[in-house]
Parts: sequence; structure tokens; C-alpha cells
Amino acid sequence: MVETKDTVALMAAKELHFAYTSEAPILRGVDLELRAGELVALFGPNGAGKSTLLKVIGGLLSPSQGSVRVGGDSIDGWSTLKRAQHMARMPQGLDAWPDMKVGDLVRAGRYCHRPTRSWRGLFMTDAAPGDHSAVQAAMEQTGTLDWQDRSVRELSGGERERVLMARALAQGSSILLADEPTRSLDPSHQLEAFGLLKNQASQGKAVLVVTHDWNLASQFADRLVCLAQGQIVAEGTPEQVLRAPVLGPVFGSQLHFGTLPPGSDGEARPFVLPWSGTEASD
Amino acid sequence: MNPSQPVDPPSLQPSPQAAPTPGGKRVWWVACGALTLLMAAIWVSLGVGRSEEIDAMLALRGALAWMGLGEPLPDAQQWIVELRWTRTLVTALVGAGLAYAGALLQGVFRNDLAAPSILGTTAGASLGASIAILAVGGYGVEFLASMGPAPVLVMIAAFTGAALVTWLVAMLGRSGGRYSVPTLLLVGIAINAVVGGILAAMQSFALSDFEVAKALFAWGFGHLDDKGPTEIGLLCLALAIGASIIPFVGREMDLLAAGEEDALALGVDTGRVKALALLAATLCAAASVAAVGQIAFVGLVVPHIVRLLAGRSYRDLLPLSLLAGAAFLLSVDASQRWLLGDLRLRPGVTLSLVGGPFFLALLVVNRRRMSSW
Repeated sequence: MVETKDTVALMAAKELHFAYTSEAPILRGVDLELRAGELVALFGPNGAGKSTLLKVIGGLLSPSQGSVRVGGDSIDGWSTLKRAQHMARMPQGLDAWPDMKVGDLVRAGRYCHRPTRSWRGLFMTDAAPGDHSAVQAAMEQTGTLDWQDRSVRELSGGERERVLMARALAQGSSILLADEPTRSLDPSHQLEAFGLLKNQASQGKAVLVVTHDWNLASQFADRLVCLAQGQIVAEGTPEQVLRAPVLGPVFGSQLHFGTLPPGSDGEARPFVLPWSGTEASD
Repeated sequence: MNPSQPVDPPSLQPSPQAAPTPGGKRVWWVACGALTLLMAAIWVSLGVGRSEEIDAMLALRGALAWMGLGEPLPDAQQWIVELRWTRTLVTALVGAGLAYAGALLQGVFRNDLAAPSILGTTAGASLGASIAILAVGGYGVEFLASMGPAPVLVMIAAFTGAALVTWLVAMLGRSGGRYSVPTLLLVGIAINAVVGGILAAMQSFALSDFEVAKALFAWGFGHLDDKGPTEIGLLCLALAIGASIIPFVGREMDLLAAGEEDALALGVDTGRVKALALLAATLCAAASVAAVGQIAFVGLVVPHIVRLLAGRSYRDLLPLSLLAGAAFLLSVDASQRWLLGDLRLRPGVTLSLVGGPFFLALLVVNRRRMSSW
């Protein structure tokens, strides 16, 4: 495992606070850094603020306090285009699935690269050089190339997740924010999805994944971050975080802890299962 | 083969032309069809009238003379030709404006049922125009047309009314960061009812003065007669400004269709797109209403037909709605004058008779989807 501690942080969030108007605060002082080449998994109980944190980091919501800096710059004054060039987001599904071909949806990821000061940029679909190859590469990596001409609406839940992943990859940004990318995937595709994210990280991107699956996170992530009630309560390697004294106070004691056999990287990682017994074991 | 040499399979060769534009060839067929229909409708509209038949040559010669090129036609012919050209152009431009406004609103509210007449935009414009007519002194449509600044004043008042109502709908119809269909429709119903009541009250008060009452009534169901170059100029200006935003919102609206937050994450400046589109829609709808009064359902029906024929991409839908809207309203008006002759239903009446059932049919077709609203 490459030690990445000495690398400069690609993204640094400082003292993030957030509240929707007239509601209880959702984020209460979150500090989080993402370094190049790192896969970080964010987990926590329902309603802990994970998705909100991802949106604030991604610039979709403005923090009420604190700042998000990317490459040393505060993203506060960035245009939406510039922000999208640096950070790609893989959402938890879409509000509405447009009647669009898969290829066109993936191509939408290239929107932020269109030249803004030329007629070509205003009128053409594939305006920027490299659009086509980026789209092709992203679809190839996610195994979606064969669906190019199918309507997005025909796809199953799992297939849609992969298309959204392809779109995020096509965006070609150095930071990848994924909100529960494995939610509706079967086990083999879950492994594949995390493998893909890990691969992106090893190519020098910073990847932040919100997930409920700490066992997959344990196998693939360099760092686990546990968010509870709007604050980070634990952060560290899977071995440091997936322990009864750390998780017990947050998730209760009905957990069973163990160690997996060595995985593809030769490391034996911890696992945690919900368990109907009462005593937390370690 | 040298293994170190990168080999590009033909399908992976980057070529900017490889990506299909939304709609593709179908769009050109629809555009050609709409253009043909428009030409035919212009021809019929110029030829049919109460007084005498005008053939195409005569219409062209009259038009040239009107622009100061060539001899005017003899006797009343020149006057008739000018009248018919004005009516034809105004009808086509109004159709284009309303259909375009409908397409824009459907994009902003991410809802195929949004239309200027349903959301209350045209009602707001009508209210503004009516207030302006009363304020100017209620001299009737003919008088307004002959006064230089008065139509401009009516136009400004109509725009203000339309903008206020559209803004109100956009504020009230929003909950939890998105527009819910029932809320939008209900807000539209309420606003249409309130504005309709105010208009009726104004007409009652104005009954003592026949000219004022007539001018106000004209705004109720549209009025395509007695128009002048001022209306044509205002409509052209509003449409030109409105259409100039297409390159800045067409593609963005396609991305917006999947959700506002998602579009924002992809880099779409959603605030700017919505502001531009709402302003352009308000401007075009207000110009149409200021010129001829309320004509319902054009903004709903035309984008729907275009969508069925040419696909859902707003980059095609917006420009095609302009063209198809002109063709649609002009053919409705021309065929109605041709078929009904002297009966002369007002365009808003015909459109309500045709458009109302169309709207109902849409609701029935979409019933299953709507049960989840």
C-alpha cells in the first residue's frame, strides 16, 4: 500500500457547518481532506449528514460556515463549470430518468469542458477535443459501451448505476464524489464498482465514497471516515476504525467483528456484521 | 505487427462528428414539414377574406409596394393586401411566440404540462394590458394602434403583469427544491381565476363606455384584426430577443431534465438558465398577448406535437416550436376563416375548442404516471 500522507491535499474542507433554513444543523464542524491517489469511504448512521457533506464538498450546497478548498483555492467564487471540471459527482440515482440514449447521458459528463467562447461550443454536442475519447474510455471501463444506443429508461437499477459511473468518469475531474454507488448492484458488480473506484484512485484521483457497506470499504478504501450527528467521530485505516470501541457508541453493540482472509492486495482486512447477539465482540 | 505500436480500432477513433446530435435527421423533416405548412397557411391566409380573392402574385406585388418597391395596386386592392399581410404576419408571430414560451416554460419547470396559459403568464399579461388600456383612457384598439407610444405602453404593462405572475408561480410552486406538478397547476388555476375575476369586474365597470369595454373584451379571447406595423415590430423584437437565448439554454435544459441538482453538479449554471428562460418566455408571451390578447393552448399543444415528431431534446424543440407555432396558429386561423367564412370565430375561441380536449387527452394518456404525483 502506497503511503499518501505526505501528498498535498487535493481537497480540504475546514470547519464545515450546514443547516437548511430553520432546521436543526446537519453538519457541525467537519474537517476532511482528500489527497491524490486516495480512496476514502464515508459511512455513518442514517441521517448523519453524509449526503449533505458530499453536496457541500461538491459545491451544490453552500456551507453556512467554513470553507472548501480545492488545490488551495476556495471554491466559493468558482463558476459552476470550473467546479465541475475539478469535481465529478456520482449521484444516488436521478430525479427523473430522461428519455435519452445511454451514450448521450454519458456525454453529458463532458458538458463542463465545452469551450464557452466559441460558436462551436454553443452549438455542437462534441465540442471540446478529447470529448469522444473520454466518453468511449469511460464507457469501456464501466462495461456500458454496448448499451450506447439503448434508452436510459430501459435499463435496470444496476445498469443505471453503471451508466452514472461512466458519466462521472467521462467528466475527467481529479476529484470523484460518489454517493452510494453500490446501492442497487449485485455482489459481483459491487466488487467491480469498488475496484473501478480504487483503480481511479490509483491513477492519481481523489475518490470519496459514501457507503453503508463498511466491509467493501474495508477491502478497498485507504481511509474510513465515520460521520455521526454532523460530526466526524472516527477516522483512520480500516483496522483503526472497524473496532468495537469505535463503532459501539455509534451503532450499538449488536455487531460482530472479524477478519477476512487476505484479498486481492494480499492484506487481511477486518469485517463487521450486524449480529443478533447482544455483546459486542472484538 | 509491432506490439508497442498503439492500435486504434476504428470504433475508438476520436472524431467530433461521430456523436449523433439529438433527433438527427428527423428534426430536419419536421422543420421542412412545418415550413411547408407555414407557406401553405400564409398563402391561404392571404387569399381568403370577406371582400375578394387575392392571388399570390397580387399579394407579392402588394407587399413589395408596401415596402416602397414598385407601383401600388389599383383601388382598394393595395389596402386589402396590406391588411391581410398584417393579419397574416401578426398571427404567425403570435403563434411562434406562444409556442416558444410554452416550450421554455416546460423546460424550466421540467414539466410537459406547463404552458403560458396554464401557469397564468398570459392571464397576467392580459391584466397588465387591460390596466394600461384603462389608464390610457380607454380609446379602443383602433385608437391605440394609431397612437405611437400607446402600444408600447400596453406591451410594457403586459410584460410587467406576465413577469409578476410567472415569478409568483415560480415562487409558490416550488417545494423542497423542485416544482411539483399539482402545486404548479393549482397555483395556475388560482391565478387564472383571480385574474379572470378582475378582468370581468373591469369589463363591468367599463360597460358604460362601449369603446373601452370593446377594447377590454378583445383581450379575452384574442383579436387578430386591426393590427398595424407597430404590433409586427414589437412581436419581431420580442421574438428576436427571446430566440437569442437558445444557444445558452437548449443544451442546459436537456441536462436539467434529470434534476436541478444533477445539472448543477454537471456544471450547468441552473440559476442563469432559469432566469434567462423565464425572462424570454415572459417576454414572448407578453408580446403576443399585448398584440392580440389571450389565445390559450398554443403554448401547450405545439411543443407537444413537436416533441412527438422530433424527439425531446430542447435544442431541437425550442427552434422548432418557433416555426411550428407560427405554422400552427396561422393554419388554425386560415382554415377556420376558409371553412366558416363570415362566421369568423375568434382565434382564442377556436383554440379553446381544440386545445381543451387536447389537454384532457394528455391528462388521460398520462393518467397512470400522474397517479404518483
